[in-house]
Amino acid sequence: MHRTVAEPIHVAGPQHPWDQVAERAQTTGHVVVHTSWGEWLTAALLDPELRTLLGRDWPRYREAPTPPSRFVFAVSRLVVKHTAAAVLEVAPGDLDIAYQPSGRPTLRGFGEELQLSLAHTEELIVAAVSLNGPIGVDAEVSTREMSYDLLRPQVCTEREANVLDALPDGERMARLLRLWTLKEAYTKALGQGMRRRFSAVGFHWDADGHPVLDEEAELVDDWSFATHCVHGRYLVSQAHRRTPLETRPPAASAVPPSPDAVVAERGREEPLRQVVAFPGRSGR
Amino acid sequence: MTAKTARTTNATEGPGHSAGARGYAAVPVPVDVAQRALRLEALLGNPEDPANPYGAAALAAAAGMSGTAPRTAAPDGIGDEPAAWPDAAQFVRGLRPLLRRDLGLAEAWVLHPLRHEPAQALACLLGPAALLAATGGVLHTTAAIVDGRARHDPAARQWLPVLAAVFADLLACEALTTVALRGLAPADDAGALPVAATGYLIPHLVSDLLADLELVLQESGFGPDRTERRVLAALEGHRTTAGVDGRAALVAQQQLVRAPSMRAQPAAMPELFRLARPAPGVGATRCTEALLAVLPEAAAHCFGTDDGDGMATQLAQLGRRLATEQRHAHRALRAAAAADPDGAPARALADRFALVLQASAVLGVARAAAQSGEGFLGRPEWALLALRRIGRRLGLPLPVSTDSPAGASLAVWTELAERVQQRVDCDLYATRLLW
Repeated sequence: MHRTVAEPIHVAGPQHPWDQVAERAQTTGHVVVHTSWGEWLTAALLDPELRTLLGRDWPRYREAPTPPSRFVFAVSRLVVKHTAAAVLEVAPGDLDIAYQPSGRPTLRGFGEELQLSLAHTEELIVAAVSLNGPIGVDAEVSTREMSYDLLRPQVCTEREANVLDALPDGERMARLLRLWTLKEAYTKALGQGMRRRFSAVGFHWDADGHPVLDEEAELVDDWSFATHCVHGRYLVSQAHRRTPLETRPPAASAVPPSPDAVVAERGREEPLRQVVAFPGRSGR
Repeated sequence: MTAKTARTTNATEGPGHSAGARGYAAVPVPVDVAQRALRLEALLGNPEDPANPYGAAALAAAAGMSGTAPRTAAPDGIGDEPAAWPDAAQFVRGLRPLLRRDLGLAEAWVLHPLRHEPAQALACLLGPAALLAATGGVLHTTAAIVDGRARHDPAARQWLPVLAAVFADLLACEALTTVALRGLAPADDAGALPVAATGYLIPHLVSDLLADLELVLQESGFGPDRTERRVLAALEGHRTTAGVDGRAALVAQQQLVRAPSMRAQPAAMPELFRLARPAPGVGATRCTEALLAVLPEAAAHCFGTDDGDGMATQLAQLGRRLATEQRHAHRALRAAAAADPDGAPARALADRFALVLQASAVLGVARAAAQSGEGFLGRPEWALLALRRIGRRLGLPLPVSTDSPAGASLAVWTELAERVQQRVDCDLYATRLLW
């Protein structure tokens, strides 16, 4: 069953009112924001706490090869921290971004309670924060030119290729770009990124034009996908898997529940029962 | 010594060892522990037998259909009082065949009953031990698949470094868990620092390992309906009832933040890390002190001089950086815990501190094994690979190197492939498998 996915929220800078972001996360369990590094640059560079805010990312910021890449790096990390801080109702400086060996960003100390995703292209920066399951985002310029012949075997399943082959050129490239960003968002949500062959992951569009994963219904029911156009020229795709309630850690908050409360909730004599497959995986 | 010959070299043996027990694992085991484990493994039967109710296919199917563990009663002796086994690490070692076979079965037969026992600290460590054993089983299966394919399919070789990394991480997790078990004393409770660090870190890291294993299986053509994927899914499905999910990790994290602060003592405790020796069981306080003493000491003296591959030098460099990280994280965690034990800074610092303790366990076990001449464990490759990954998780600048990481990865994969071919488990002890 398709769930309506809200458009990403535009956040114009660190002083942007974040209540809409917090409210979206409270209502749906996750939120996606977008901005441009130009909108944040002055505030970021003039912030005396920039080095503290970037923390362990400071060397990477300083070693970025070009000024634009340095700005994108710094702003993207600030956007993620401010967004997560808004969701958790804490100060951005209280948060520490960590990276798995695969490069996937996480919020240190929060495990699967709060999951992150980050994407950027040209000036656009997109950040996602989720309290209820893994999330992935990807962004591309909507007019990006690509070689369909070269990408077809790498990106498309046979079913997708048959559909795209029959489309006019312009529509074909637009559809390919949407597929690319959806697959990138999906594999980022899985924590697999480009290690997963895109040609092994299939999407189709339902009668209402919503993207649907080509898997058995019971395996995709918890997933939601969407692609939106932002700033009039970028495609932003998001993939989110809503974690079943019984497997979800207590909602991330500034005050986690006491150990006794969690143990009591779990119970000592509860019957051994199955738990739905763990978050982020398409198969069981 | 490799997995080809699961025999001791010059490792000192404790009482009760025999030639038969020496053949059971690369790291010596008391005869009674080996007998218990073998009896258990024989009772569980061949995991690949489709008619075996305790086989992989049957257990995965049971998890998928009813979600309950098999209702047969646990065999006699499985639920022996842990007090009958004064060495907690050997107690767990004797249960390994069960823990490895199925997390749901382990929960039903051992973990669940033991939660009612007074030995709460042991119960808190059994869950992570069971999760690691079961994950080792999935790794073993996956490595066998990739090893077979890589001989004729170049595309399969892309997964060798991935599986090597999973193996190194798994051994690092086992090092922390085993050291915590070896240091356990009857008076310890669930809030003991090594217990809390294990309970917090293992569930999180294993989530990453299982994700990588699923990726490899998926990309190797094993869809969701294949037994191998269903075993993995069943493992994930049992984590909540087995108390090794995100919720349990959160509880352990809070205990880690609130654990009494420690100071590293100048006197180390090398016997804590000598896996072939009886566990000292000195209690959580002394165990923590011994862990905190590892990095500053080992940084200078870990593996002696290089054999031209730079690994010993890299390990020393990593050890120094980790020792610095340990000082900072320990001090900062005390301050953050005093200010706001539930706040985000304390939670982040608890994560750092747990990773540092894991690095200490890795280096402590590796150094002790090197001094005893214990084959693969005593060589630097697995420790180097494990510590680089811990360093990456900590966000530390890693020593610049050209060949060492790739060489270490290849050596770890070679060991893993040999274990698969020789039917040896993916555990610290290199235990022979009956099936």
